Amino acid sequence: MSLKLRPGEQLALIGYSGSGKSTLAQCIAQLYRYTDGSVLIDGHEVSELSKRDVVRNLGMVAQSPYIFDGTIKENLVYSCEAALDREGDHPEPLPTLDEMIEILQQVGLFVDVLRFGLHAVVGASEETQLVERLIRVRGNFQTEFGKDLADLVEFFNEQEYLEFSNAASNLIFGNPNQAEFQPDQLPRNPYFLEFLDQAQLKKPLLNLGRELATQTVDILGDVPPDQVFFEQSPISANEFETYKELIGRIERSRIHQVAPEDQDLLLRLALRFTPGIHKMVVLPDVLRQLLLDGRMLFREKISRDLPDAFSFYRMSNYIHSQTILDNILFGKPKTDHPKSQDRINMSIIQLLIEEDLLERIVEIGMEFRVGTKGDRLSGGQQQKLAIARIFLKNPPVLVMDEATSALDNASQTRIQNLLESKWKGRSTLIAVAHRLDTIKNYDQVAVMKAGKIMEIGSYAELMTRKGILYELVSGIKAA
Amino acid sequence: MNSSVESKQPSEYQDTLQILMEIPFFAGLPLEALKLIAYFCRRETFKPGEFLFREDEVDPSAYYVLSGTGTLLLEQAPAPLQTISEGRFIGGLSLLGDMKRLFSLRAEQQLVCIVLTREKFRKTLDQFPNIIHKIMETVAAEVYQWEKGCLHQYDLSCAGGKMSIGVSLL
Repeated sequence: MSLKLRPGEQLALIGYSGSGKSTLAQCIAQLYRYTDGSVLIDGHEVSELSKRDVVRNLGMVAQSPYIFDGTIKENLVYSCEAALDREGDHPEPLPTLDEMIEILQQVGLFVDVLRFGLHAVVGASEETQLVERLIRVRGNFQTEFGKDLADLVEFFNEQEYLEFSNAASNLIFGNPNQAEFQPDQLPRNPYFLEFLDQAQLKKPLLNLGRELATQTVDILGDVPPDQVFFEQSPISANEFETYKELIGRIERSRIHQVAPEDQDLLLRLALRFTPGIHKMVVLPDVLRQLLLDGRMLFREKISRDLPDAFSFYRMSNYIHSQTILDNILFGKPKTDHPKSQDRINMSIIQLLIEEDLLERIVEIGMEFRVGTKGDRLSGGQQQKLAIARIFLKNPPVLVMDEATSALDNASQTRIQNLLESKWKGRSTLIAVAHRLDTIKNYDQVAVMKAGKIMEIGSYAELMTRKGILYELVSGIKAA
Repeated sequence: MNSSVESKQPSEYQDTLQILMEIPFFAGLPLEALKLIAYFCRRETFKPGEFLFREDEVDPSAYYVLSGTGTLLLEQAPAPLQTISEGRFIGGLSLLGDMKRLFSLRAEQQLVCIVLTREKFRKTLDQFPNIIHKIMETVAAEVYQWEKGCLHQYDLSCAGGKMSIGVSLL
């Protein structure tokens, strides 16, 4: 085979699987050592190029990109760091935040990274200025969108019982700063249990727990431990057997006769009861009022005894144990419907822009750790990240091996448009294409079969020639 | 059911269960299956002007109107076809198979609905596979009754009228 590309030209490699497209791409990228023939870049034999030359001049996006356990940002600048001369007196500078954000927007990863940022936690020791501004966004969110989004968000209100928060949160109305007051520790925390007794809450909560367990077991009966069945249940899939047995044990007992460890289970259930989600039981009015009164009593008591144990929800207090999004919402979403989530997100983005915080949140999002081999990212996000990394490096020669195969149609089109508008004439591109509708505007199309180039030329030429490309394209159309 | 529960205000779940028992599509199913369906149901509120679903949209859900009214319409010819009000059940067929909506449904007054999605309904079927027989009988009977009721309204003297008959021969 033989082919030649001028600087800035774009070549699409197509053909059946096993025809050698990827192998050719990998030879060009020095990933395969070839024994015969010649691959020249700017007159230099690829096999004789130093690692350094390859790294500086060539960018490769592989089918399954290499994403390592680090942050988005580390993964993003990885290729640049390798390519730039970072040693010596005048190290070449890494890309700026603006450049990185521009690339994220171009490859369609911006909103994802923004979401990572919104779900990040800002620790108590960091960034007082950011925290102040986020509290301002919280205030604006309620003034500007509070009324409009009232059907989607239940805002924290000290005077009211929160239907979309659980009983423990309603009682405490704040966030624990100490391990022994974490939600899962409360049912066994002696201080908290003593308080429940004093506030006459223990018995009604145990009764509530029993009713929740009875009803849930009655409804779910013999369902398998499939998550779908437990989304609206206070009992989780892996606890279900325990509660089934518990109901059998205590069916005929009065609540004060129930063994302490079983009481613990009932209390646990009652404390996580959330009326807006768990619809099998009604929260009795008496208990609702007791919990609301208990909110004041608990705050008085603990402020006296252990003043640092909790940070209480106040409009002016940032909640450091919760995400940025939770802090702005300062309430709970009433539904998990994607359309509703979108409406909430759009409002928040608008406010972040007004407060000039959007880029700061994206910057925080870039600190998101992607997990081993990027397993906390979707396949599409991994590919977008790999493409962004290469675009950021901006090499003279780009090799893309089915680099957009995991992307949805809109994202593929976006990347394709970008290649045509931004990179044509700037970097020489060799792309192994997996879809024939993306190749029309390439300067050259090479059709491969059994390790040979069967035909090569522009898309229009090959279509007029009515050869293999024509057959492939019309075959797909016919099918 | 727990006797101490019955004396209290019914929960949303219990309320839904009662309603399901009176909807022909579900009536006659065993109580165990109905309980699970009632548990899976959610309530949704639609503001005036808001669409529950639109023409050509895949919307795998069934709705029971608890309160308020809505208008069923074709968007090309926006004259309302029907007013949908309290007590109406819509979308049972969408629980059984994929289909795009042929009509749009828009809330006129604030509309509160019980909503069941096909995903949840399928989960119930997985648990209680036998209920499908009962549901098939109900659907067949409804289609039959529908055409029987409409037969005398068809204009059989024209080709269009003759073409429209036969849904019960499906």
